[in-house]
Amino acid sequence: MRQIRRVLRIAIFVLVAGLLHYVLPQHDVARVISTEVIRTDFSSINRMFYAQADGGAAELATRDLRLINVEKKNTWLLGFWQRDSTEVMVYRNEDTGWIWPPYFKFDTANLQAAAGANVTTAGAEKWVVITHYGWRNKYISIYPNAIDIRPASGPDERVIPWFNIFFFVCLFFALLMIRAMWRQFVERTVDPTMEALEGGYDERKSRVQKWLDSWRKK
Amino acid sequence: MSFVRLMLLWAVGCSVIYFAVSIFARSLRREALEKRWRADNAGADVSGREAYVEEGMTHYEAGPWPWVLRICIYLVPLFFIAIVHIFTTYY
Repeated sequence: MRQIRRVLRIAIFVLVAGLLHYVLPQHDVARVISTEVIRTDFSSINRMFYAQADGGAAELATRDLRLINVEKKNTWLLGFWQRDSTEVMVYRNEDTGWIWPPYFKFDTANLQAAAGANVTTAGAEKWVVITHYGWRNKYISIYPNAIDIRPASGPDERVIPWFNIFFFVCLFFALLMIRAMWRQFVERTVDPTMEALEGGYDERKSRVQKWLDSWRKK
Repeated sequence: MSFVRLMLLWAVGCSVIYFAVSIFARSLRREALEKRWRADNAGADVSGREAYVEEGMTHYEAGPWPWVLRICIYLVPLFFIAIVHIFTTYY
């Protein structure tokens, strides 16, 4: 039983951590190499990793997808530790609309223009900070979604994830609040009810039971 | 259409949270009133406690705190949506 509980706990932790890692914004220091548009046919496997059609557009089975090709600096520990190496990365650029994930992004075309304005050329390297969420997976062809592009101070810029700090502080307080609410509920509602049930069982017999008892005594 | 869905989600989600938090806040207030009565009437019979607590709860319901809770719980998510939307789409 303890083993099952432990496995369940680990599974829930992995699911929640994976969800947060997918949804929360991350920052990459990168050079934009090129931008492109490809036709995409979603399948049931990778559909959930794409947003819906752009705001105001109709939802079809097939549509064009804006991509931003970059060369990004590698990091360890979610960006806290910088490395000297680089790797290529591809971001998609899609409206998230009003629903999920809650970025409420509608400036996809403008962001594509900003990416185009920051394309790096030989002799004039432009470094940018790309804010994104999501994962790159080669096997099911999914890309992280770019949210914002801004010029970086240089290839070694260290971005402090203020939003994530704020988010985890809020999450911590929300969990404390839920815990306090649950304890109050148990202390004030569940425990007195259980005591009343245990202490006064005889007085709380139903009318049918009392009627039956009245026959039995005779 | 997706905006309507977001507003529906907001209304339902905030109502659920408000329901839970208001029960919690009332329970805390009731407990505090019971403790205050006990501190003021040490050793007395509990018969007067009920009326004291009910009067305190009526005061609480009429006071500003339920409205503070409502405003915080319903407006803070709207504020968050507006801030995130403005920052991602205009900056």
